[in-house]
Formats: sequence, C-alpha cells, structure tokens
Amino acid sequence: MSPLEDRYRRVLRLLPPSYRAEREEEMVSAFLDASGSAVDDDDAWPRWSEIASVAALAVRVRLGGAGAPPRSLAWGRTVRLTALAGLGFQAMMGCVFLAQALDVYGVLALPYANGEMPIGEPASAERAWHLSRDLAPALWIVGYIALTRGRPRVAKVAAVLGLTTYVADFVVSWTSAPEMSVLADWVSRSLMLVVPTLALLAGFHRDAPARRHPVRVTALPLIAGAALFLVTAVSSWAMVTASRSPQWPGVWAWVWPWLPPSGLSCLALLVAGVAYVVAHLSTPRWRSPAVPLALAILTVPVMLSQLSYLNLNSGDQVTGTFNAVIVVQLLALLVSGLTLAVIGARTLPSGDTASQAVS
Amino acid sequence: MLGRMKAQGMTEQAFLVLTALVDESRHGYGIAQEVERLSEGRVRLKIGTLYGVIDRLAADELVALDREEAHRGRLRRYYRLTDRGARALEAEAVRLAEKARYATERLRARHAGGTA
Repeated sequence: MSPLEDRYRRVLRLLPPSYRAEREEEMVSAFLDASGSAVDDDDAWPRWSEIASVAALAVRVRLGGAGAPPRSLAWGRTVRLTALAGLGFQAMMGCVFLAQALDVYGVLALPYANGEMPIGEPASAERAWHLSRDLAPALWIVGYIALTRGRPRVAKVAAVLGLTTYVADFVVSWTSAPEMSVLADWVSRSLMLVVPTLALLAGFHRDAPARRHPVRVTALPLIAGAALFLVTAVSSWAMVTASRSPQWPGVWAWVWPWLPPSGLSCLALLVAGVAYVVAHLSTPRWRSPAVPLALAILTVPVMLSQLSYLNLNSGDQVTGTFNAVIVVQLLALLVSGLTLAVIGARTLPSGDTASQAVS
Repeated sequence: MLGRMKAQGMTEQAFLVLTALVDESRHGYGIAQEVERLSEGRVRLKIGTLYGVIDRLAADELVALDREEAHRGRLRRYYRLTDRGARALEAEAVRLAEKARYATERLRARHAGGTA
C-alpha cells in the first residue's frame, strides 16, 4: 500500500463503518486512478478539496443521506429538529429584540424608560451600523419562517447572516476594551446561536426531505415572541417601579436569572423535557429518538450560557441569590439533559446496517 | 415518480453523470473522466462528491450496479443507466432544451428589434 493510499484510507474513516464496508475499496480505486503518477510519490497527500468532499459525504451519510441506515436517518431527524427548535427560539427572541429596537428608534412607545441608547446621528455611518445591528434579529425570524415553509437554503443564508452580524457586533465592541473574561462569556452565550446554525447547515443537506410545516408551526414562535414582549414590557415597568422601593431587589433577585435568553430557554427546555418524558411514559406511539436527543443537544449551549452568568467574585446577598438560582437551573438542566439523552439513545434504532445505496 | 430528483430538480452533476452512462456502463473514475470531458473541463467531480451523486441516483433507481472487476488488484464497480434513469434524463434534456429555446427566441426578437 502506497503512503498516498494509506492517507486516503485514513480520510475515509470519516465515513460510517457500514458505508466504508460498502464503498471503501471502489472509492480508493477511483481516487488512485485519478491521482496518476502521484501514487508513487511518498510525500503526496490527498488534496484538501478531496478531503472536503469526503467530509461533506460523511455528514450527509451520517445524517440520513441517500441509502443511509435507520440509525443515521434518526440522527438526521434529530439534527434537523435541533435546528428547527433552536431557530424557533431565536425567532421568538427576535420578535422581542425587534420590538425593543423599535422603541429605541421611537417607533413604539413603551410605558417605561429604556434609557438613552447610542444610535448615532441620523443619516450617519454610525446610524447605519446601529440600524443593521438592531434589525439583525429579523434575520432569525426570516430564517425560521423560511425553514418551516420548506426553504432551507434561504434559512441558511439568513442564519449565517444573523450569526455574522452577532459576531461583528461583539468584535467591534470587544476590540475597544479587550478582556478575556468578557470574551469567554460571549463565546459561551453565542453557542445558543452557533449550535442551531451548525445543525441547520449540516442537517438540511441535499438528501434531506424537503418539508413544509403547518402554518401553526410557523406562527407559534412569532405569537410567543409577541406575548413575551408584552410580558417583558410589563415586568420591566414593574421592575422600574420596584427599584424605587427600599426593599429592592427583593423577589426580583429570584426572577432575574430567568430573564436573559438563556434563562428563558432554560425554562422552555425544562418544560419541554418534562412534557416529553410524560408523553414517553404514557403514550408509546409518541416515542421517538429525535425529540429527546434534540432537546438534550440544545441543553448543552443553554447550560454553558447560563454558567457564564455565575458571579463568584462578589459576596453580597443579591449576587448570592442570583448564583443560587443559576446553580439550581444548571442542576435541573443537567438532570433533564441526561435523562433525555439516555431515553433518546435507548430509542435510537440499533444497527449501523449496510448501506442500501447500490443494492 | 423519480423520488428526490423529481422533488428537488436534477442537479447539473446528476445530469452529467447520467449522460456519461448513456452509451456504456462505467466505473467511478471513468464516470468522473467522462463528466469532465462532457463539461469541457468545467465540472471536475471529487471522489466524495461523485459517490454522493451515485448514492442519490442509485436510491432513486436511476443507475444500478452493472458488474465488478478487479483492475491492478483494485476493485472497480461499473454502473449502468436504468430504464428509469434514461426516462429521467430524457425528461430533463427536453426541459433544458425548452429553456434554451425560450432564451434563443427572446434573444432573436431582441436582435430583430434592434435593442442590442
């Protein structure tokens, strides 16, 4: 075996064993035929484009591509559901952030003061930058709607643009005052956007079934977002009022850790997890590996994001209350995530059976 | 019914692979070579990409395994176009020809109108 063949076979290990058992020899044969005289060169390596093509094939095969075994099909559904749920949550938050932005620009008038927000002079480059940043949450709404209406390519473009804007916004602010702890916190929180986007890019490959969801699936996060905006508007007004009280923050110290996006997604994940476990135990026909595994996957970025809110450098009572609530959230997420992962793993179809691609 | 091909349209890669198999069955590298020749060097299929296309075509029963041969001690699998594949290719060719005809007619009208 030439060094080039040996290296290409190592690249092919990206593919599932069942696929390799079916295809490895002919892929190696085709690769070596295409390599010509390079086969005899001890220093030759497969080109990056060849490696990338095998990696892309591996993603498709592992996530339910053509001729994939049942287990890969189940993983494909899991990853697509992860993308759908993750984007749905971001679309819901997008509604809230968009409405808040409209308030900042004077389009909406909320019953409490949001404080002065720097948005730049009208018609200035700074205003254009703030506008593009503040309207970026709409991209997640567009992405979710496109995904549920069977347009995954549009959804991918919207999600990548949304993520790019999010990164650019951070880079601009961080470079003016670079601090490693701020960077670490931001990375933890950004995973709630990164994980669904990666799931979207990987799961909705060409072989994935194109599916239009019912309109109610499209509308649900948008309606929830509008409702959440009303709740946040009312609670912000109540907080502003309560902040004038000598007992401040009182009960708000217990509520505050639930209010950031990761706190809300923690609540949503816990409710969804309990609901799924009840359904799993009570109704066998609803058992599916995709739902518990998708919820378990989404639990990881939410935990890391919530972890970033822990403040161990301050010993005051309010911070202590924050930390206590966050620790309880993390423990609940850990138990829920592990339970769902175990249920999902047990429900997965067994057998990485041979590919049916050429049968 | 042509499964995914019909639902999502045929990609240029799939169209070229099917075209490469019209006259004879070919092995993987032979298909890649013929696709490159048919596209005048524009489409160069990487091996991972090629087998992704073959998987899809096989799943839709547009190509099938024809035979296996050993060449210099290495396995070569030859694929052939199925009847279903020939029908799908023909339908796609007609569709593309129609699109080309529309474009040609409009260009002719544009030139005749002196708006070039």
